[in-house]
Amino acid sequence: MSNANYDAIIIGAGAGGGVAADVLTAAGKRVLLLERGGWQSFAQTGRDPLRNQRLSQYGHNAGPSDDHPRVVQNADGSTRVALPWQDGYQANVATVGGGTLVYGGQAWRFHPLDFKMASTYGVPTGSSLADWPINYDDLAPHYEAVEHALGVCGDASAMKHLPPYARDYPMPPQVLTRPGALHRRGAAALGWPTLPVPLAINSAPYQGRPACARCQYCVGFACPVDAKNGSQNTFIARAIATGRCDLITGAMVERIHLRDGHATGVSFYRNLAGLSESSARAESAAETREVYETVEADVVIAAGGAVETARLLLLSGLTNDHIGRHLQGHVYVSATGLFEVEVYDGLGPGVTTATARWSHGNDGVIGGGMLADDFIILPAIFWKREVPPDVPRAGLAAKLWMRDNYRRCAEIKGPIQDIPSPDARATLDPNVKDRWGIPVARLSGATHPESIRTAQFLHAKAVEWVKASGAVKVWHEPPSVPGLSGGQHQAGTCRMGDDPATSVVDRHCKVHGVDNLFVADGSVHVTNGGFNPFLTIMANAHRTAQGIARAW
Amino acid sequence: MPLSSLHIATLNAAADRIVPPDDGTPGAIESGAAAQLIAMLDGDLAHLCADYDAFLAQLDAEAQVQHGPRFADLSADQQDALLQSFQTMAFFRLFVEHVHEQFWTTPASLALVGFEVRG
Repeated sequence: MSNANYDAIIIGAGAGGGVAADVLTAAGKRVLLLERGGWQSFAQTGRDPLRNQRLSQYGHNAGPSDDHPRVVQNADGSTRVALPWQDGYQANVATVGGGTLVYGGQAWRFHPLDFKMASTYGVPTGSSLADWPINYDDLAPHYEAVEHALGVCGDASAMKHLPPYARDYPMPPQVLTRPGALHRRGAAALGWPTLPVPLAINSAPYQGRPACARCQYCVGFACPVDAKNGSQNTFIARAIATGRCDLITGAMVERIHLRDGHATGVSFYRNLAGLSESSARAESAAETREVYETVEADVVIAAGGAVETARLLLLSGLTNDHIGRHLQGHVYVSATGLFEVEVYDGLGPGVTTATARWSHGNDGVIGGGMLADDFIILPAIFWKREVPPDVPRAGLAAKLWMRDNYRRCAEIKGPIQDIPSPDARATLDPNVKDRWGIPVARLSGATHPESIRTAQFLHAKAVEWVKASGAVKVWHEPPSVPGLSGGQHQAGTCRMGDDPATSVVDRHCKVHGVDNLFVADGSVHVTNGGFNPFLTIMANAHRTAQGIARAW
Repeated sequence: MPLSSLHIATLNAAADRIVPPDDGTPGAIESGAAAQLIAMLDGDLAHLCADYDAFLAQLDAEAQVQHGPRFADLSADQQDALLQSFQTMAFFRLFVEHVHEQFWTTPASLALVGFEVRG
């Protein structure tokens, strides 16, 4: 087609980038996949209860490193520099696989109305709520393809809030846990339908990897038996196996080169050790060398996550005012209950049972959300987050409370439909640069206050459910103050739309005004659904990459 | 800069009242939590080492004013009463959290709540 080094360059080896690499290499394209992090094994990721992607008290276990600071702007306009594991950073992950290496793997399809929020509910003052330019039916075949290519366990017949599936999930749901059974009885008593949570975790051997060992470390950690299906052990592995995908790790992209509405390639700093920057420094400080490289391609796909993709488009000279705006993720609600008997059975991952009863159609609030039981909570995290507020924090009473009650608690939690604000945004900080001299992202604004009203509604339902399940005591307050909600589920900063005046990419996820630059991550989500979003990121990347391959 | 050796005994004693031994189950010292925290003061919490020294000095000073000996040499009841008087102090509450963070990572704490690692 041209003299370019590659047919396509994909920036970011996470959920979306991996899928795009798989689809394009399967279509015969030569792909360069760039990832700033590195490959990471179970042993390297570790099981430190205080340094992981679930609780980042003193660092985390899957990047990014401290080479990637951001600036957090407070409500009063003051700013501070945040490291990736500190408050306000809105961290996701920097490894091959991205967040899918350490996620919990809740593999939800969005609800049909999740794509139609503005036309369903109207647009609250000050929000940028809008419909997607595509709908559920456009994504359904891609959801199905991804569920099978990735490996999802579940029961399609139980997904009664969705149109009927053309194919069931490739694996049956995980065997039910004791808290899950309790919550199913509780929901039944309330007349709420429940369903097994679809998980990207093998409930039976699949694609040459074993079934889940039911360990208690799941979300926030890598899988000890490789039964958790992420981008790294499915899509990316397949792409590399074609011989048509070169993956460069330790690659920090500086800019996409744009000329006359056309992307010609990208420039990046390449760590010759192929490691994430910090581990390279630690292991061979003297020998670590980096080179600056420019590679050309016919197509460029940005898939670095909502904050980094927006940052990269801005660094590349794009000036659409919507780039970086509408940053969203999920406001979460939770209710933990104390039961009269032990409910803990030690069977991971722990998420088994959800209801979509409150996803939509709720009087007086916009949207709603899904509620589900939770992953097993490690004792150290339980102590920090789950102990009721009236329990002493020190002394024998505190210790005995944990001894007597850790196994008697169970939680219901869930994400609401965030109502986006145009003022929740990622911009380029005018002062702070990373160690490559590249301006870092500045994060400012907050979710729209309507998100808080929806969260308070859903919180009340969580409390109701835990009580109906038999809890004798329930705690956790609902959210009360809007903040940025764009951590692990970040989205929205390059929103999809037909009108270039109100969106960044078109319905094919091609950047308006650039004929060969695409986005394949959560950035394009107009709204982020009342469900965990990775399956939608993957399905939409699948749709986008198929569209690219078909037209080429 | 590691914690001054003078204050290690004070930290150990105070930590062991925050998570006390009881009924054959280890407290902060026997579980290793206090030693882990002391190591953290030369690691991830090194920036708080001077604050720790100041806080532990205050604890010893208060012990000596009220009872004569340093904090580590008081009875458990005396130690508990003294710590009670620090409940509203922000740094004390931080110390409490640090002790618990370390305790709930120890094998002894996992055994205490019946958390058995599978896989």
